[in-house]
Amino acid sequence: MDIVNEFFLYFSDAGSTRRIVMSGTILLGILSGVLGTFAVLRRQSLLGDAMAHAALPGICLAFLLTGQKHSFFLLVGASITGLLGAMLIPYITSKTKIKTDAAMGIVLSVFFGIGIFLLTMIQQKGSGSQAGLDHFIFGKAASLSQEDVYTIGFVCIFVIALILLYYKQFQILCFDAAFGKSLGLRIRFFDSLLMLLIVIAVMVGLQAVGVVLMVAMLILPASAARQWTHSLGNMLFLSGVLGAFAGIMGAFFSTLAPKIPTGPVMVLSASFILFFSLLFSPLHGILPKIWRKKQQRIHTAEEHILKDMYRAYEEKEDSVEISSIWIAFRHDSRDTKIENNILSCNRKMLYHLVKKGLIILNDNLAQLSDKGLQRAKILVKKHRLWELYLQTKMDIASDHVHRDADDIEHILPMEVLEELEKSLDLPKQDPHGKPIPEIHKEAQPC
Amino acid sequence: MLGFEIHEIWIMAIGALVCASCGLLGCFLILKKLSLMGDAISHSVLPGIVIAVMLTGKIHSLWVLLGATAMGILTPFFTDIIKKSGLIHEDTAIGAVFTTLFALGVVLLSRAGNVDIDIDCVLYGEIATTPLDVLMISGISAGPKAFWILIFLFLGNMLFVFLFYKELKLSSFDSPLAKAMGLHPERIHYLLMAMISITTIACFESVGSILVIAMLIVPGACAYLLTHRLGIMLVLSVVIGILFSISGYAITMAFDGNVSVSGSMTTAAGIIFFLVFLFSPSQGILSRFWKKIQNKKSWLVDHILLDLYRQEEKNTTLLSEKEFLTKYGYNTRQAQKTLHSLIKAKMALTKDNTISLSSEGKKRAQDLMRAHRLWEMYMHSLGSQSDHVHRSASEMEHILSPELCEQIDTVLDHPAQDPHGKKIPGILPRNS
Repeated sequence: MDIVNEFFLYFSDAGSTRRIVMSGTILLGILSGVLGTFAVLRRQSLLGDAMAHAALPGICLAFLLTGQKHSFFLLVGASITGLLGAMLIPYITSKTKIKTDAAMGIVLSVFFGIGIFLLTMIQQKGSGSQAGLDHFIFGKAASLSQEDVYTIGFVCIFVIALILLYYKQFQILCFDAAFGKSLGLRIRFFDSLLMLLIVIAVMVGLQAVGVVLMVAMLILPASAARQWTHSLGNMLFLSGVLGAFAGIMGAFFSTLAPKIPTGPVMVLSASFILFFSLLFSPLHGILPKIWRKKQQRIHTAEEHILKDMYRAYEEKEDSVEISSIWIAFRHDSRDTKIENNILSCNRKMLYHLVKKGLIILNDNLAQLSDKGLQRAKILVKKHRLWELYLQTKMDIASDHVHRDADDIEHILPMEVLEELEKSLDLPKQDPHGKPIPEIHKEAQPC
Repeated sequence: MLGFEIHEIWIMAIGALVCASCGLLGCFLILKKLSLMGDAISHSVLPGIVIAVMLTGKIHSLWVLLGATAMGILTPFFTDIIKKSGLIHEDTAIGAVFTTLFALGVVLLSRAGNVDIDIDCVLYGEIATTPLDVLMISGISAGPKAFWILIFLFLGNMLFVFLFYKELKLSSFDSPLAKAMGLHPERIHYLLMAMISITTIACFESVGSILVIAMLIVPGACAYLLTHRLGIMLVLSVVIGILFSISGYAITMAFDGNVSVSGSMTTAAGIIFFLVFLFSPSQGILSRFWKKIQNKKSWLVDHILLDLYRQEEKNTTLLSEKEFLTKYGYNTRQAQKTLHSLIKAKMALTKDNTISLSSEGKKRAQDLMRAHRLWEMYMHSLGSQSDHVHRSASEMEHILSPELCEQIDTVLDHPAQDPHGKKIPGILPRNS
């Protein structure tokens, strides 16, 4: 309960410093989340990294030229060299065989090296007022001032307004720039505009969270949002929300214990969100994928049991001993891994089928219900029609068709089944001479 | 010794070893398009270092190296996992992993009261003070400790590249082929990442991360612009790395040692890369620009010779220089100059204020005209309209080799005229 109390205390706290820090990190989260969406989609996510590093010589030069530590001058200097670095990257790649990643690395490391060269020069001069220049590298979210928050807020509103205004253009830029060009959109202008916006966001964020962590905020919320949606609008919104959430978490958790820096905690929160998304997102998440695979496996195994029961039914056995099902199935099975898996959970599966009303159990005997018979018939029909199709239309030998049919019977849709039947002229027998069952239309399950 | 003091030579030697060790491995990062992996690894080793220091309480121990190497290998591993989601690109995945690990490192660092790691030191390094930490063997000074660590590192990297040269080469250029040949490109990939992590850590202490990141990329990139062969590229990257170190220290000296040595070396790397970018014989933008100008000049010479030939072919009265230039639309000073240089080179003759080809010039013009008209004929035979073939032939005449001309001649069954009814000059007997 301590944490909950802390949380309420946090908002009731009269001291405004905490609230300034939190509003700053929230706004920064939204800003970087929204712009990060474009960076991630356009495969420019590490461009922010390069630009953030390239900002350092600008900061130092601005200080050397003006002799002041006013954040406006420093921001202008940072933006100029940051933008210069960003523009050098495509220039290098277009003129030589050097690829984008290497060009980014060159710009990033050389600019930063020059920055450190200048920074040490300033420190040696030792006028005293230079202290804190390296906050631009590491960031100090706790020292955010009211003024800084207003700046971030203003930039945030400006960026969102621009994106809303030119939503269509940005969308085309992300997904099909060549098409946009053919439509007569000024693609290069919007490309540069987007780059400029990212530069501004990075520069604003540098002071709060530092170079590396600003890059993280551009990448993490957007990557997490990408896991949940395929639509750009939703992704922008979600990414902004997740960024804001990471901001809240960062500001909150760093107050729980002394000496914990806000920026890194904010980033770790965003990483946690990404981790969670990678595991659980229904589209491509790791766990849903495993779950779907397992479901598919169970489904396949169930259908195999039904099929085996049908074979027994074909041989005029009304019901079979439960134990013989497994034996029959084992003979049929070609994949020992699946077989073992099936044998280990055979009981469970059988009860599943009973529960679904497909199989009726009498003591030790199992029998297909009407519904189960219908399902089994469809299944066997799919199997045998496919075998026939492979043999007659694809010229595959009749002893080679079983395996393929075993796979397809679980996924063939009903419409295709009807088409197949029609194109094969309503056949009566499969290549092995077994009858193809007839299904009464009205009894079909939907 | 060359005006340098002994500790300065140590500094340069240490710098050179760092640059060469990183440059050697960096070549493969560039070829694999993974340059930013160096950047990523050098950030993500932080939590490994901090955890090792927190557990052992010592900054200099093998555990630090192990912890850092483990994190270094985990970086590409996590990257692969994230990439497998199918929705995130490799560079984004790299960015997500290394920033997370770095943030984790910073948080751990802030919680670890007993750890004294100076982030400034990690960034800039203290190469200037490395000669002070001397290795003593039975009372005799054997040079700075860092030097011996780095020389082992360099030899280790050399050995690694030497032993796995074939595997590295194949997996960099054609990973599927390497896999098909049973060379296990994934294993080589992770081995390379491990070597990079070890290199990064070993260099960190003496030179700081930024120089390591720069040296993993820039020497390789310079070498990449200078050659097309992997073996030469590797040697060049080592040489260039040493050059960075020496010229970087020279910059430091120029500022009376008041600037960061690592910063100077990186700056020197930037300057040298820029020079290579401009002047590389095959790739440099200035050399290509120069080649373009030369090409343009030689085309102009060819065109003037051809027009002089056309003029003589017409058998009309000879023209003066000025008349010729205006008649054929040469109104630039460049053309005038070129004509004069042709006269100087005895390709064209001036007689009684008229201009004509010399026998030597005629030979060259005839070869060109033959190529031009044969190409026109060839285009015509492929179905182009006779009034559409001139432009293409005006370009091909400079490129077609005599052998190709003869082949076209044979294919067309030795035509006598071009599509406009003009005579195709025959081959001149050579050396006559």
